[in-house]
Amino acid sequence: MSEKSSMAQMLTIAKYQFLNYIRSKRLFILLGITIAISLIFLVIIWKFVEPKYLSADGYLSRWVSFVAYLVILAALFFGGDAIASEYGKKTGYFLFPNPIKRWSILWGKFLASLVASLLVVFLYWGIALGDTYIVKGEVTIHGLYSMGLSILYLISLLSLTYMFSAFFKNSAVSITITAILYFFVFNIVDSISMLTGVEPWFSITYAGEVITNVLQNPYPPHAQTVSGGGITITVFHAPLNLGIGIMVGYFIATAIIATLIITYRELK
Amino acid sequence: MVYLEAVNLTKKYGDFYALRNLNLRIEGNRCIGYLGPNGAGKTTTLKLFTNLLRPTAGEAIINGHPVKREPKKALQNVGTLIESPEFYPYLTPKEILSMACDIRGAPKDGIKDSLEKVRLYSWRDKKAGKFSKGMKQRLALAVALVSNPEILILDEPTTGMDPQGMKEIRDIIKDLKKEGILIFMSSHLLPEVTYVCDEVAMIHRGRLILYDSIENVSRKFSSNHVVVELLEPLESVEKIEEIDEIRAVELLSPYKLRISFPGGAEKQYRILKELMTQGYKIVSFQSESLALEEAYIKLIGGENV
Repeated sequence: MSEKSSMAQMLTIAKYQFLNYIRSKRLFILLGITIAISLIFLVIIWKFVEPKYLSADGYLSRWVSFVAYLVILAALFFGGDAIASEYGKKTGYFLFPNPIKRWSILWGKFLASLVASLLVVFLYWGIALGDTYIVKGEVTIHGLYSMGLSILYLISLLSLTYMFSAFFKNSAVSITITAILYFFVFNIVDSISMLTGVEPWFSITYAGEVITNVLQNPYPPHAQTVSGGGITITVFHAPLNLGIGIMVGYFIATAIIATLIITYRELK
Repeated sequence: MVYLEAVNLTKKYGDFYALRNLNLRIEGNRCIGYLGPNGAGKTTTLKLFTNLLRPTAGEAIINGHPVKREPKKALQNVGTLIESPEFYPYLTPKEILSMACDIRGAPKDGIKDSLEKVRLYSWRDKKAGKFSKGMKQRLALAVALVSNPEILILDEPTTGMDPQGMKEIRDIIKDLKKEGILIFMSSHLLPEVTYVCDEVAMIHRGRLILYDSIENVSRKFSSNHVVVELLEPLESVEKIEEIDEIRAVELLSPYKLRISFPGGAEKQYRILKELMTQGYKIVSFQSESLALEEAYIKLIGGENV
């Protein structure tokens, strides 16, 4: 029997993980949620937004405000328990004793999660860009930049999710803690930074704001101080380069940590 | 020649040694039973050989490749069944075996044969999520077999099975020996090891205390009691007590007696011969306990297996 290359093994893992998303109906559920939310947005935007006063980017930004949440949902749906379940549900006893490097398992699963997430995110972008084109007759390059940034945000957030998934042994714990972190902790950190005047350059959700910022003309200032009622707050907007830097940094750091965890973690 | 070797293999959790300086080399086409009480270090050893655990010290080596440093090479021709694995509930047995073949780069023509061997072929297209524990255990054995490995590492392979299933698995393992596979199998069932294995390794509190062939163990630790069953009721044991090699005779029932003697196959044969000469109609004549059981109790001190 010839030794199979680690890359080929990674693709095998990706194939079966993707099959998991189809058979477990996770992919269809999230696609359904995406379509439902898109329909709600269509109704709200058509009913409450007057397009003639908005530029194409301004109109699109109404849609894009939800993209960051959709990316978080996709990361949780497809990556939240991808590794933790191997330990918690004992499927690791089937998978890990094979002649396969652990990183092939991690990155195979990551690849499947990324493809599934991209299907969901592209569906939403397709509806958003399509509606913008129908209503405004054009889609600017900024719209495409925003879409590109949302993909980068997805990759970095998915990597962070995989790091947590590799760390926790229980699927439910992994998904719950990661969800709390994304929906509450990072937002609280961002809010505290406004009050303390410290830029949250370490926050992934802060970096994610560039997805909507890039559609604003002019691009919002890096720091804006607002006073009133005895309180001074500083509103930070990550410059494009910083936002991209944070996302890339998150991806690299969490990818390395996740790979190390799965490589050295034992199945006791 | 295929082999597994543990060199000063040690696994420590805090101050507790799950395995301490295990030195063991097993090779060739044979089946080695790995025995020990609960917590002795059996599963730890097998997990170290299958890259599920990392040794604190020493090395687990398969065919010259250290498992820790070269897991892909070491496990290339190894089929494993560790603990009772779970399977992805959305996959069918056919797909699970296909996945194992894909990962190993093995041809898929062995899938049907493997599923037939473990009597799961008729379930090949049903989702594994609905399977009972015994069926999952059969599936796990099929996964271990599907790539035609040279070495099989099995951790209590009959766990969770009904008596018929246990027998079928034992017969499969016996058949595999004929195919020239090295089998390293942990078990807590002594008759199973006696029935299936050629050699036995015993471990206690993380240390290897015996490694020998079943034949040698039988010779060294044979029982010094035989139970004899007769066709006709026995009125008195006096005549039997007079036979040279016999120390004592206990009448268990009119048809059944227990004979104590100094031990050894030769003496056991002479007693049987003398009983036949005296005209006793013997229905059965067998050692009271398995030699392996005797060895186990003597070496491990009667702790539960």
